[in-house]
Amino acid sequence: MDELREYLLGIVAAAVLCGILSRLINPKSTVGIAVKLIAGFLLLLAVVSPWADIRLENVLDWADSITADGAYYVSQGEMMAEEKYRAGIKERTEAYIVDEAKALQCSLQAEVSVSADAMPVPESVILTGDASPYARQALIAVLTQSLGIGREDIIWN
Amino acid sequence: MRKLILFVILSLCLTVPVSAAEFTAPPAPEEVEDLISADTESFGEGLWKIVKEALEKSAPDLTAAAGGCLSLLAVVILASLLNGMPGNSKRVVHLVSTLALSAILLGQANTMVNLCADTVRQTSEYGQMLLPVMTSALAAQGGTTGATALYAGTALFDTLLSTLIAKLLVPMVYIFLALSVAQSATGEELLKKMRDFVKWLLTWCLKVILYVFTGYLSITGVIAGTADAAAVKATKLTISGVVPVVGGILSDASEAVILGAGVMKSAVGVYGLLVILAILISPFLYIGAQYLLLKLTAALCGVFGVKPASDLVEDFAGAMGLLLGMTGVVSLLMLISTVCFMKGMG
Repeated sequence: MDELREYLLGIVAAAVLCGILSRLINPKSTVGIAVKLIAGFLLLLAVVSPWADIRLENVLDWADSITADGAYYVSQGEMMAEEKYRAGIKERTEAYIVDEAKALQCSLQAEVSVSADAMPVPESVILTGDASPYARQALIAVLTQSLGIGREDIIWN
Repeated sequence: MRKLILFVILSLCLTVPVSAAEFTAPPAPEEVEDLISADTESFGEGLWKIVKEALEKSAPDLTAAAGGCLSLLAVVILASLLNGMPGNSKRVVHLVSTLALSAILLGQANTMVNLCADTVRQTSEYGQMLLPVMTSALAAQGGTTGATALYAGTALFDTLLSTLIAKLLVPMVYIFLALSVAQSATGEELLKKMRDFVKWLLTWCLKVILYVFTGYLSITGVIAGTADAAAVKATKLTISGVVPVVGGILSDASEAVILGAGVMKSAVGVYGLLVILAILISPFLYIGAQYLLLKLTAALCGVFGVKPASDLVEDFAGAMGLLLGMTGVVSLLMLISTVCFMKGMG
């Protein structure tokens, strides 16, 4: 606010000075024309000079900080979506395994681990409950073929 | 030291605006809390409640504004009568009436300018809290490019406009009013030109910022929206391909996340829109009514044959128009931006 006041006062002062000078000298004389020209330049200088102090780097830094803030908020949203997505994959995979086990006449509980990649996929599973050797083999086949979980990543409790 | 610790704690609170589990809209400022309906699911109902309550609240202010205009008319009628009396100096009557009118008008204008500055500050502050939530919600929905571009554009233009209004345009309104009073008192042509220039500059600043902002949103909206929609589709296709048989079922999980984020984003957006409108409506009605009343008063002053007085009142009506423009542009900027966030990837 103070800078603006100074700026406006500067313009007013320059305008007053120019006004006084033009009144003192005959405007139609050669000196008058020269004084009018100088007065015009003085006024122009008062209007333009504060703008010349603005550094482009400051403006760019400011724009950069806004972009950085935006990137931070976007990453927060992505993280939240990833968490929810991971939870959704885990839930759906566990439900799928329990359904497949039911179809093989066994009651199992499944605890699925999801990979930490950008594209999360079921990585390993811990199965708890009773199952016949046949059902176990059939279920392992389903898990490896349908879900892509390695045989060594299927753990029985 | 205590201040430093407090500052660090407050800064940390500000840097984590998004809750880890849900996206929640920032609470409405205390002044407009009672205008916002508890059930914000319906935008129409919420808007109706805001309009109704704002009209009820503004009634006493509008009566006071009408009273001020009647005082102006009384001064003008008195000046007209004094002008008609033989032996009175028209020049003295003109100067005295201008001073009397200016005293009444400047008092009213000062209230309006402060109201406008407060509204702009409140809208901008609320926008700065709402923007991060909308950005994160849009990013969670898959619109990462769009969210970054929208945030950057809105934050930049909002900061630019609110700073410009607070530090340059509001003081310029005072300069405009001072020039109008001085021109009316002296009848100087140069003052008239300077007054018109100030008005033109104010209008031009607001227009240009709004045009550039809407242009930016239109371009980034189309480009980012298409890129984000393609990225989401590609992700779904990749999941279907990575997991052998049940990939389709798993890709539905991403659909569920997108839908969930979309629902939350809509709820936050609707609430945000209502809060911005609630902040805007009372000052807008008040300044708008003042603008119309001054226009009417200026027309009535003309009927009494006191043209300089009519011109002065007209100038003050013009200043009210400028204040309406400033308040409206800041709110419009936030409203457009929020709607763009809500629209997201289209």
